[in-house]
Amino acid sequence: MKKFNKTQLMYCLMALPGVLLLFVFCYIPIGGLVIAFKDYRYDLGILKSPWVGFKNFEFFFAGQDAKRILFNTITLNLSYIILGIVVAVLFALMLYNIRQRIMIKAYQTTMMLPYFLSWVVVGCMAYGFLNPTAGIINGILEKFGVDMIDWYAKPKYWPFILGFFSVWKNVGINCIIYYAGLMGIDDSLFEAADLDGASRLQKIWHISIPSIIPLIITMTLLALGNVFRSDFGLFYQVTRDIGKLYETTDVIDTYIFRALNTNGEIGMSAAVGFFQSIVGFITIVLVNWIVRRIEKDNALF
Amino acid sequence: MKFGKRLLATVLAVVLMLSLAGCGGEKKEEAGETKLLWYVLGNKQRDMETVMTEFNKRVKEKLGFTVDIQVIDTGVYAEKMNMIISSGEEFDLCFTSSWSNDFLKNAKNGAFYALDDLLAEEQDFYNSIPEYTWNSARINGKVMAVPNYQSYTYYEAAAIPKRLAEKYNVDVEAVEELQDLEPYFEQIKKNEPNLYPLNPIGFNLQTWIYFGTGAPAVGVIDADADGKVYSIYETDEYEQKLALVRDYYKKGYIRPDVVSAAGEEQTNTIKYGCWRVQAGAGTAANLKDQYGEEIIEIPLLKEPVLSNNGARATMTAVSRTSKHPKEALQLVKLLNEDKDLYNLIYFGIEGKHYEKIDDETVRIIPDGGYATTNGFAFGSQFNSYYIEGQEKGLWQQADELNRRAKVMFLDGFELNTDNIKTEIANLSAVEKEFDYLVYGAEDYEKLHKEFVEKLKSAGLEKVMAEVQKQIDEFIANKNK
Repeated sequence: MKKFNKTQLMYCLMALPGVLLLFVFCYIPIGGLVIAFKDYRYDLGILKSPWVGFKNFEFFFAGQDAKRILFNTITLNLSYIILGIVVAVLFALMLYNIRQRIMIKAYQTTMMLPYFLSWVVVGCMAYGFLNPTAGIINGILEKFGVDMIDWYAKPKYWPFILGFFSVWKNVGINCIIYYAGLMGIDDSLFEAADLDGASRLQKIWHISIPSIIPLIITMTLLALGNVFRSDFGLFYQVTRDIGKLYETTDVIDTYIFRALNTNGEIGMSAAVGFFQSIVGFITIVLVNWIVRRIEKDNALF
Repeated sequence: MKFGKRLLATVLAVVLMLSLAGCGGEKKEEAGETKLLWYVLGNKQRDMETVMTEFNKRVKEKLGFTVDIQVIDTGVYAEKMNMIISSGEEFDLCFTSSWSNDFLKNAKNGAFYALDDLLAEEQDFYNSIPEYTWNSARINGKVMAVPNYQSYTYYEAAAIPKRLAEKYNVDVEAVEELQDLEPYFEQIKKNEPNLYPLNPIGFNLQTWIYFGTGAPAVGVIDADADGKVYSIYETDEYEQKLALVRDYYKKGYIRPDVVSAAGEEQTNTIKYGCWRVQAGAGTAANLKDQYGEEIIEIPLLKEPVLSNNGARATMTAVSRTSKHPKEALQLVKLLNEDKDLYNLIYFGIEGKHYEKIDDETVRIIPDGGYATTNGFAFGSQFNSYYIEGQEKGLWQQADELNRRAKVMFLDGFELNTDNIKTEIANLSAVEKEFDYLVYGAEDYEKLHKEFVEKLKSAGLEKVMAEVQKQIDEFIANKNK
């Protein structure tokens, strides 16, 4: 009994720095949410700045573009989350079925590389491809006798272009997580399947995928928490912040940046952050609840 | 158990380290000795310490205290200052401007110390620079920073390389507006395959006729002494400009990918036959330096204009957290008045970091360990030595222009946005959304209507009424 307690104490101590960090950087700042309801001034401080109720929220919700922005944010993020997962799982399965170690490493490294590029660099690369006069893609189109396309003036293409870059950049890191999950599957399951004469596809469908379902659900839940928060770099750098493209690419974060970066209203920015967090929180709880109804073991909490 | 203890010790050490790291920025103050803390932007210099020792020796002699100057990298200065200011850290002075560590935002949110009472005792210093520079530093009637005096006048100009102007016989004197250069554009298009004839970016209608009021999309005409406000995107001038750029785009004077290339600046190689510059004292020399050939500036406005709140380009503010505001202002004053001290912090030590060519001109010693470019952050730029190649008498010339320039009737006006914050945020967003219209890449008629429509539903009328009300009050007070 004594020994058990000692081990427990040790684990607690090991967790302490992490808990402290979490407390300092994630829990204490929650108090700062009051700024969303205040007219914040440095000299008065957080507590003494005057209350303004929901006034800071007005500009966003009363704005004429709110509908368009919310629609863009939700549809684009949702589709990129789903697309991201499908592609990552697919690549993980492919990697898992490769037998040569050196090839696995080669593919993994290639896939990981874009993850380490900043969006600014990716934005420049995209510009290299899509530049209306000197871009690679228009060069190819020209060779085939197709008319050039002024990509940066055609909003309808952008959900797809951004989707491509989002997946391309993140597939490596997500793929590794699923690949690690696949590595954990007990080999005896596959041996048994071999004895029963299962085909490769059947093994994937009946063994590999079900084994990583919990992982997929966890990752989805975590991603959904940020469904109202967009990858700012993707939507700002890759589109080069061109007004013409806002119609399909303007999301909450880019709109806030555009509307508030000139006048520096701290309260209004805090209000939008507050909204994003609350909605993200509700989404997580809701989806988790649904998952629990269907399969209790797969729920996150 | 032993292992457990060791672990405990490690954990404690980590925790201690974290908490110590959190206090890293704390100010050390020796007993009885005042030491000010001053944040400026720039590049850290290898030999900063030598210069600071000498600097502090002189400051101590004259004012009786010392100062710690912290140079923060220009690229991260705004971000770092944002952290320092919003966490309420104790410091005394900082560089602030319209482009880094935003003056307006900080002053409005109460980050700076109001200097009026202290300045009242320093009348000579106050009167040493024009009143309008102080007006730029006023927020809600209170002076929130000391302008680092420099050249404020400029005129809108079209820049064209001299070589090309001569080759295509441009009669520079006869050019009054951009349209007069059309034959030149045509020539460039025909004969210079490596150049785009015109870069339309920056040829801003607003700075030609209409002046900003602090609210997006709302402007005034300086000549109107009654201060009527206009919705600048609904004016004939704006529409004419759209028609003109559209026409130029169709004629091929503007690069076809102008919309996506808008962020691409011309840096050292000339890509355009003509582009816009804000010209002032010394611009010609700078342009020549930049491009390695002579560039002609063709003024598009005959009179030099004072940029609205131009003094906000370079200022020094006293922090509200300062325990020694009086001493802080003394130091700023000293740097503005004592040329030797200013040049010490700007150029370093003579013989070690720079050598004198003559009384007023210096040459920086390469690899001397102290070669700053942030002289503007410390005080009046007119205190500075000329750097080799700079025209002598430039400072006097610029100072004279500063004092001669016509002051806008709106000078000193500060829009109070309390009642229209929401509308302003939304108007800014709409304005940005349609900024590509002035590049000429699209047929503008329909888009222009849509633009105006959107401005209106974002609350343009309410903002205009509010701005008008405040300007009327401002004029009434001024005439009192």
